[in-house]
Amino acid sequence: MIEPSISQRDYPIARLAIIDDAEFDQLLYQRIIDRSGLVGETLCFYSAEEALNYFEKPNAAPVDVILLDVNMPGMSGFDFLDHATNKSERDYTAIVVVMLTTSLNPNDVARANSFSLVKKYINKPLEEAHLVAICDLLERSPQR
Amino acid sequence: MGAQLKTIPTANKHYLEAELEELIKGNQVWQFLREGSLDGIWYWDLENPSHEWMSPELWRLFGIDPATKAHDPAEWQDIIHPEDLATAFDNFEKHCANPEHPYDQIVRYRHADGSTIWVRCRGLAIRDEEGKPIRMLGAHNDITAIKAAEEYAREKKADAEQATEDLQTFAYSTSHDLKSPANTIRMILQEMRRALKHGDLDDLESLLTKAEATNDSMRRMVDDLLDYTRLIGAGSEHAEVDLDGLVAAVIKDMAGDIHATGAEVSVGKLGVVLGTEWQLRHLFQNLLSNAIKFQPMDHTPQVAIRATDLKNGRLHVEVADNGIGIAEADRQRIFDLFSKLHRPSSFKGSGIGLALCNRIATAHGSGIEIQSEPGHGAAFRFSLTTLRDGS
Repeated sequence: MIEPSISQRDYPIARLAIIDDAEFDQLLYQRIIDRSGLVGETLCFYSAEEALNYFEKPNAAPVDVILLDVNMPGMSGFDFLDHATNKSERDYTAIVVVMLTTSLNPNDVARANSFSLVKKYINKPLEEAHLVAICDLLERSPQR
Repeated sequence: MGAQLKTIPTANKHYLEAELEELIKGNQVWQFLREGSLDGIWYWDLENPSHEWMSPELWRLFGIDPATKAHDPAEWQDIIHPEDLATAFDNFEKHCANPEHPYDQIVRYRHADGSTIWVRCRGLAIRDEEGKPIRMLGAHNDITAIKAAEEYAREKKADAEQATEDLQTFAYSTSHDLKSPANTIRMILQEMRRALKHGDLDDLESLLTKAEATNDSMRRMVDDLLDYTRLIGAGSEHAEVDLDGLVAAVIKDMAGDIHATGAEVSVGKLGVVLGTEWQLRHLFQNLLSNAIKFQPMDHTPQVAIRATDLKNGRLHVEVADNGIGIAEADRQRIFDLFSKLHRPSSFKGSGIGLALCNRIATAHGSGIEIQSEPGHGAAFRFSLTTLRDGS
């Protein structure tokens, strides 16, 4: 396990992971995140499989928040949640998962809320205000 | 005639009803009712239960010659549905014990041609002075046509419900997939405003390129959506289609893509089929385009289009490639609207193509089957109705 450096500890969100297949969106999120000054380090994954590959490694650096897209090629955001909740040996409960999606389907919202890992549901596009709200969530989070 | 009827006037019986009762004692009216409004009559001797008179109409309804029957209840019990026989017996016992309980049920009979005849069967026990049932009179009404109409209505209702559900899914998927690029463009515009404020022209330029690319993919998606909508709206008008000519034309149309990728396309003898030409053109175009598109980097695409006559009036068609293949788990989902298995940067597409292909194939009598070993290509198979020997 890599200990977060002192500088990372200074950020409200030390390490944030984005799982989204939209490449341009990732670039644009990065700009918003950088400008906010709220995040120490951002990990970009373009698919749920890629993200799981990272998280399942024994020496993976801990992540505070995951921004998770729903509609992705291969594993969907729900497949990711299902794996993290039911199939993985690793404990994901300390991570705050925030759904970040354009899905307008009320069934998707209900399905996302059925996973206890999911703490928030945000409709795209991502804005700085969303990041501030996530910081509030983290402060209230019992795991910290 | 009226004068001859011995009517016994009673306080609560209309004189015409009493007259009719007398009239029924003559054969003419009875014959009229039996043949005109009933589909069979039975009259059972409950004191000698192996004797049951059944009218000729009763047997004719089941396609059976009345002359071959001997007025034995076992004869109808043999051709009634076993479940309905149990219901009938249950009602019979209850009716005999209590006249208030109606002997009235809908039962299924097996017609001589194997089909099912739906019958409403009603009966009335005739009782002696002590109320003990000694005879039973019954009548059949053929309700097969009503049952068929009911079944038809039920099917259509299920179809309509499915269509509504499909439409709802379609609307959600469409709004999602059109909103995604709109969101991206909005974020790009915000970044452009910022870049403009800081006078960063290089950044502005790179953002513009991204906005254009996003806009292009959005336009492509709208085009594909229109194709799809056109297909679900249009009823198929099948006619004779020369598949060899059609596939040759598709390959000619796609010459640009084929040349650019260096793809090798081989086509076997296909034949003439019954189908809707523009739909089949779309089907081959999409399958061929996928076969060329889903390829590993620096790979020469090889596509084989071939057909086998199944000798049962169907032509088995296969479009096979040497591309990246499709994992078992993805084979169903690949046909869902907007389902994409790959990141947009790896392979361009709206996720509509295969959903459309499957709809077209289904409208031509078979869905698309996929055979694939990931990494070793995929074969898309479907069948069409043949008009002439294609082998």
